Amino acid sequence: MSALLLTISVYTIFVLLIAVYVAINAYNLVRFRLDRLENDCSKMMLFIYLTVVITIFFISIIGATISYNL
Amino acid sequence: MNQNNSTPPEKPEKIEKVYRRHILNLLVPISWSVMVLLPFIVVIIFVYRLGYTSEPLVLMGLWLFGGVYIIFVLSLMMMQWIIWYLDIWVLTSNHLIDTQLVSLFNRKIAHIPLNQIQDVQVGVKGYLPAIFRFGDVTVQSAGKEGSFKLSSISNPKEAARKIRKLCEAYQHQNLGEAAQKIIRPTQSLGNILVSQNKLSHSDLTAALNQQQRDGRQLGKILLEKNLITREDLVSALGSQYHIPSLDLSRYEIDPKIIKRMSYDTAVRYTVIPISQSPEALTVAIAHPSPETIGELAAQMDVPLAFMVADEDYIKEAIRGYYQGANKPVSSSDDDSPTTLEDLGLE
Repeated sequence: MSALLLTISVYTIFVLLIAVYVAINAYNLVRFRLDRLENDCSKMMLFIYLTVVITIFFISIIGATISYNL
Repeated sequence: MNQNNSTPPEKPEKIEKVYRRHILNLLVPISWSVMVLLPFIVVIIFVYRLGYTSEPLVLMGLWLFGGVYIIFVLSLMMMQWIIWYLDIWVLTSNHLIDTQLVSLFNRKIAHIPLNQIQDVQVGVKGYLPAIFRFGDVTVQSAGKEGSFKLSSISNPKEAARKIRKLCEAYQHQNLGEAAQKIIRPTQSLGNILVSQNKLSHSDLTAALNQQQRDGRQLGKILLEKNLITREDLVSALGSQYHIPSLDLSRYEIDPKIIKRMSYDTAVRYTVIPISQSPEALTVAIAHPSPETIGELAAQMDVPLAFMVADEDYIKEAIRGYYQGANKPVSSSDDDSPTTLEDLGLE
């Protein structure tokens, strides 16, 4: 049980660090993008990026839950 | 005294082209980011080979930390893309703008007015640039920015050609507007002096003969022979080019106005700024031909109004006000280009 708690604690710290990194990327893209230029795809790329990150996050949570309970 | 009561409206600034670095410049750093996945793959192989897959905690850890690691690699690639995507050069009808995301939270914006571009050079080095047709375009400017380098852009020769073409069009436009304000003379200087009873026909003929021999300016010859005074010459020049004349010897110039023009420009065109109004910067000029006016207007970023004054007085004023030193004063560019605001860069 203590090993599980330790794993989850360390995992939470890593998730928080990664969340900060993702937020920094998103902020730079939103703050400095030039949306008034034609064919600006920054909004679409930001959407794809956040979607993929959230998807990977949930897949890893689900996979970890299933593999631990098997 | 300004001749011009109104300035022509500025033509709206239009974005001509946007340049980014070639896509190959993005693929290389992204490839390195993908290589960062290798340690994770090695760990998975290690875990399977050693038979730790039966341990539920190990599997769970692989899933959890693997997910975080993949998100980290993805974020690395995204950061590379953001830096590549936001590193652009915008060519408008009036400016060349360089906006770079140097690193996260660090953006640099610079711009050069097209009339300050002196030289455009193209460089294609290496086999990849030669095969995929990308290279560098270096733009030398006379302004404080020095030079811009458009690195690794596609079709650099075409880009350089476009920049040169827009520079010529911009200068020609300014040349046209400024020169239109000065009416090309229909009467010669000598005839004007004779019609004003400042000079006789015989004196004019003798001076013209000497001009043909020496190749010097008629006005200087007449002054040397004491046939006319400086005031007569300045007044006649004003009548010839239909601009007001000014006795600069009795005029005190505000030193703040002097800073509106660089020493080099003042010496080159024998001109000195004398006053500033909301419409234009008034300058005293010794040789107000349409060609000189046009070149001067192309050099300066502000609308100009002209008055003719004696050449020696102007030179003396330049020596006195610029205090004998080359003081390159950057031309005033107080009005931020609307394009930067339009682009949301300010």
